[in-house]
Amino acid sequence: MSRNSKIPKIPKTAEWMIRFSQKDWDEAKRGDYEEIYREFHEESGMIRGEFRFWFYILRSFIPSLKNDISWRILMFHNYLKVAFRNLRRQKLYSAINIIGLAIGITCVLFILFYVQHELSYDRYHEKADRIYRLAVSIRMGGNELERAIVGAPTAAALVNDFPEVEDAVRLRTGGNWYIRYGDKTYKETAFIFADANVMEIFSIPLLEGDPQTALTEPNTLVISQTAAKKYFGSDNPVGKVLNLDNNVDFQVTGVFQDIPSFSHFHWGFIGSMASVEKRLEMQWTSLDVYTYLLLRGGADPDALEAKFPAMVEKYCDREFKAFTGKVYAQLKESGTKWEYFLEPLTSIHLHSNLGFELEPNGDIKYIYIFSTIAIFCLLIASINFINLATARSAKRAKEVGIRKVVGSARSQLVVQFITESVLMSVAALLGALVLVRLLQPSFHSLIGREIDIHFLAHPSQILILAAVIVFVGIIAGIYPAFVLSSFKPVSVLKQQTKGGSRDHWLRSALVVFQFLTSIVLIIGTLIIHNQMRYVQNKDLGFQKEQVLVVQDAFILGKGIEAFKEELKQNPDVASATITSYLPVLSNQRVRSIFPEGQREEKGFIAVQAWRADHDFVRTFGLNIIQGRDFSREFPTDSKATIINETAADMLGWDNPVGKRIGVAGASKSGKYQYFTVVGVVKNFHFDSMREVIMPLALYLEPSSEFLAVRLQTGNISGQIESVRKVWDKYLPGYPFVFSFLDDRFENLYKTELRSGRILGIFSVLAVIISCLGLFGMSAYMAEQRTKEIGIRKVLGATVPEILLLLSKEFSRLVLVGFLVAAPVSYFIMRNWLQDFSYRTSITVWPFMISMGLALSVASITVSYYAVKLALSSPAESLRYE
Amino acid sequence: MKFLTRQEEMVLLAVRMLKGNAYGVTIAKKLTEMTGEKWLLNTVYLPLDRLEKKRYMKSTLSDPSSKRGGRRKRLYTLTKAGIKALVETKKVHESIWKKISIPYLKRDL
Repeated sequence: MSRNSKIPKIPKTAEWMIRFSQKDWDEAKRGDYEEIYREFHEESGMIRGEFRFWFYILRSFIPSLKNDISWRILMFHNYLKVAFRNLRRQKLYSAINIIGLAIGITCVLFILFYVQHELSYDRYHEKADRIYRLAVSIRMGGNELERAIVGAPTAAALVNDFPEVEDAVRLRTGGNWYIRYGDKTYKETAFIFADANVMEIFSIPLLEGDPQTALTEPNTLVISQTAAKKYFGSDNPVGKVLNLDNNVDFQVTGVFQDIPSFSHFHWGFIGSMASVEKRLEMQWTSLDVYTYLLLRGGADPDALEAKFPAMVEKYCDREFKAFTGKVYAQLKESGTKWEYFLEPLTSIHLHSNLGFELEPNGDIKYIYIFSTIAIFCLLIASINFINLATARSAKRAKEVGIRKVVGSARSQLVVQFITESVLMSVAALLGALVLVRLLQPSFHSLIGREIDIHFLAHPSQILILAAVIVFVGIIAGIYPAFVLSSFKPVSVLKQQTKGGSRDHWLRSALVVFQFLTSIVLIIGTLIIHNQMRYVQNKDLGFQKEQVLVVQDAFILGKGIEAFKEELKQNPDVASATITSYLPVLSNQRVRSIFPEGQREEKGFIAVQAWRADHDFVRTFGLNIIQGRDFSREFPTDSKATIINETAADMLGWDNPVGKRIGVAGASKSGKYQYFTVVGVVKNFHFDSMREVIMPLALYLEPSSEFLAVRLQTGNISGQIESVRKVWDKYLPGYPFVFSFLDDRFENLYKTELRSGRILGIFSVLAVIISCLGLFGMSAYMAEQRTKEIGIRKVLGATVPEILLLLSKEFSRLVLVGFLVAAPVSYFIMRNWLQDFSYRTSITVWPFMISMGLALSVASITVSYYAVKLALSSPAESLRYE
Repeated sequence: MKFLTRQEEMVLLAVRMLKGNAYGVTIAKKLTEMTGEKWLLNTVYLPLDRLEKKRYMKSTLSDPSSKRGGRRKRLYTLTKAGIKALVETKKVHESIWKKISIPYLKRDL
């Protein structure tokens, strides 16, 4: 033996295993194992010795492990058996808990699926972590704009100038197209033009065609699987020709796999940028294309952003000078801003809310709100469990006492009670899974989009479900478990315990919390409802009723004027206008204007510059408060403009009629054009009420996306038919797509209306779960006070007196809940309303209503057992026992 | 007196044979050698503890030796009661065996 004085160290895991199989562990035993360890090493060398030792340990470890596990299983079996018996014995109590928890878990599951879906957006792109979108933040003439689109030349310059940028792709929205193949014509909205490298940067796998060359030629496009099936059935689409808008032919060069739902874009058609290259304005300041950058691995986006200001001076100054006569550095001093910034691809869906997003995005705020509310629903359900378990503790005190006398350790009792609550949450989860399946369609229509809910398709989902069960089981079970297991056998068996006052306080506090949450939700729902009613009934400054909007009127081409004139002859039609601009947020066109002769002092003002025709004002029912409408009697009106009150204010004119405004960049030469103000319209809400009304100017210029028709009052469906007939005369075979102005107006508030509805549902659920708990508590209370009530009746108490007595306590709890809920919801809702520039004031009504509702629902719940008890004959109740 | 189990008997014998150098490792080795079966450390600790509780043997902690990396040994020696139990057990065994004749056993011998 070598005289090695170094202490041989047994591996940590091995030591743990030895100790597991050993009762007492002391220095001598450790010494023995170390001796063996050293011996093995000396006999067989480092590696084989190590193996021999491990083998040795395993031989002693496995039998003891087997032993241990079999005991645990035996105990667990017993816990389960007892838990099952308890569930069955207390049917009402178990039902209340399971139903409440099932509802709570259903909420949580839905929200979980929703959040998981929202968070997974755009992560499927292989290069997702290196893709950024270039956006621009602009301040001009007092207006702040943030745009998801930039100028067409930007992408090339970025790739050229900055080594960090590996590649860049430009996308240009294609608007709506009527696409024809053979005798099939459909309207397509999911159309985009993109540079040839779009499929390299994004992960859009081509099933047919060559990704390298598919989009290099003009008038070529690739289509999605779904689109391919729609137009070509089972034929191979590659090489086929599609006709667009009865005008251009595009050749199909590939078929790409459908874009998944968790993407911030969903294209059916990608046309080559080469097809529209000529139409792109090659100017930095005319915002035209989406630009996505692919950075090199390891490149720092912040460092790249820091280089953008220099880029603005290098490229944009020429254009600034042409339009305003000043370079950027000078403009900046007068408050103008033109700053580029990057958005990571994966954060676009939840965090980006710029002008001209590809699709409406989600909002991280609502994810937070919904998650919080779902967790609160689950908490309320768990509280039921805690309350009922502690309230009934007296019933189980004896069981605990006996178990302790027989030799249960406290830890075993805790495990016993937690097993019961976990068992209950498993039952609740099963119920919740059924509910989720049943309610899935309603959930989809509620949130307005489809989410793939595949049960147990993902290991992560199983993990999450397991976590939910354990979490709920433990949250709900831990307090009762510790309270119940703390009973002292002697006092319990001598019947000295009653629910302690500490438990009573806790129960009351928890009930208060339940009603507090419910009341906050109710108040929130009511206030959102009020605001929506306010928004929908407020005088908008235009008449949104009775206006039919025919979409994509430009398809009529040159026939559009004749079409409009023919419509105006129709007795059903009051007036009709051709325009691309509707009073409900549609297109925007921002121009910089200034009052003539005051460019230096006043600077530029950014206005919405809408193209209109002679019938625009009349058709939408705008009010002219000064001057006149456009008129054919004045040929000079081609150089005329009508402005709104805000514009007049900002220009600083009290009597604008007859004065002239200059418009920057309106003519190709880059010089200013001047327009005479002929009228002023009363301000009208053309944007959502969240925004202050912007300055606006109308010009007589052709634009033809929509044809808006004001109908006479009368039979709507007949009138639609007569408009459709005229359409069919001009364009037989083309789909007639229309909408109503007031529906489009509702769309502005989709998010609010939807969250109002979701909140409403959650508050109903919260109230239901709280009342379930209250019901259980009242059953328990009735049982406890049977004798007391019997004696009271014998002494002459009347039924109403007893009812009052029984419901007083719960009403007090609801009232306390209300007192806390009122200020909390006031502050939350005031904050929410701040988003609206035009809003209702918070009145006292939502508060009164919610309190009345909570009180009456609570009293009805309690009254079932209270009435039963109050009506029972004292002889019965006193005989009890 | 109570009979010893076969396992207890073996352990007592092994401790006796080791004469003052009886501790976990040596006892396990001795038993392996005696019976031809592998005895693991934790399988000898159990009967050792039990026999000590029955006062058939007693243990002392040795002084720490550098050979064992400074760890002490728990050295076991038989008590008088232990020796007596062994002897009694042996007597009983022999008296029983005398009364039995197993033919093939004799042939083997």
